[in-house]
Amino acid sequence: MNVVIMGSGRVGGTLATRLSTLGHNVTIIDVTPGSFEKYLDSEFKGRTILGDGIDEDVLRSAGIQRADAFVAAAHGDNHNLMAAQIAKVTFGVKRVVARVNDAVRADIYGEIGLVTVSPSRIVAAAFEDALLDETRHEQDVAAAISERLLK
Amino acid sequence: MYIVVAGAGKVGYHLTKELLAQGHEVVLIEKDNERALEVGEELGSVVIPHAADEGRWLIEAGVERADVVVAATGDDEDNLIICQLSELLSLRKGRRKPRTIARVNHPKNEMVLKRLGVDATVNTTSVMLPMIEEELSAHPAVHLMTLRRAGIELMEFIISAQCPASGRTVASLNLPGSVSLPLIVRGDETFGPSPETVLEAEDTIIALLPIDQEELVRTRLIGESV
Repeated sequence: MNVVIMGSGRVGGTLATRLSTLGHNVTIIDVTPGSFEKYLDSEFKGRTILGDGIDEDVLRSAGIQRADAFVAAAHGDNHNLMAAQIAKVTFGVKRVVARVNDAVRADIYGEIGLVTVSPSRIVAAAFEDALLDETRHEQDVAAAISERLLK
Repeated sequence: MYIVVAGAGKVGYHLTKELLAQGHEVVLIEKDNERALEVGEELGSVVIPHAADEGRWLIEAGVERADVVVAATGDDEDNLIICQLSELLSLRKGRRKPRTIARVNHPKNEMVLKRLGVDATVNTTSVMLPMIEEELSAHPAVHLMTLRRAGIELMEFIISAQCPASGRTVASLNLPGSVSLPLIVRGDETFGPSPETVLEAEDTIIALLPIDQEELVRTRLIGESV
């Protein structure tokens, strides 16, 4: 699967390395120089592109036109929502997942067909599990996103 | 009309003031508390000191009964989400959607926002650019590009009937060998002049010249120094 990921932070970087190790063709985009070195594992075999993921030209150079999936995993919710919609509407990418911290926005955009992952909600649930000592095993955010992508 | 404005920067603030003066009902949302207080002191209770991209404050502002929502913050992605949320929240309540207008700060985003459902965009750059271009084109000498390392610049000169070059051949201008005139635009026609070409009024001349020769070229072509 060809996957383009926006945001090479802890979440995006971990997800990129994970998918790359699984044999997927991954391109990761970030605006900050140095973020690839910082958060990508040495096992990462994909491509890195320096630029802003809401810029259509940057997305094109990342191969969005041939992408099967796009993940918006950068920091700002609005940035992620905008990039995700560009991938879906302008480039017609089939599977698009956006990281959206604010649960309200995650729900509203979920209602109109955008797949969202809300780290704050997932972490809160993990805390709840840990506190209530239930057996449901904890998930980290990257695992949740890759699960949704591969489903 | 009932209007919700997001962002109390220069644009949002003056717009709100103007709309209030015209008798409209306006609510202004500003996430920076200090700025909201400052503006609120002047405009009164119409200012909500919170982030407009959080749905609850748009609801608080009564977005579902708004006729128009103007997203005027300095961030294009925030403006997009504010417009979309306003629309989605209104539809959720079974109301008709408000007309959405977004300020666009980066010209590249204008088309993107329209494609993603924003009704209208206002882009300061594209408003100002034609004005600037018009100003520039009225000027007889315009710097098009400077190649600093090579010490060369590309300039455009517009010849009028009063210019010393008007009615003369290129050769008779006696320009130094380091200056070249690669292109002349005459009406709809574009051509490379020969030494025998006679320059006419209304001609646009593109010149490639060493920076230190600018004074001389200006004087010979349009009779005007810097």
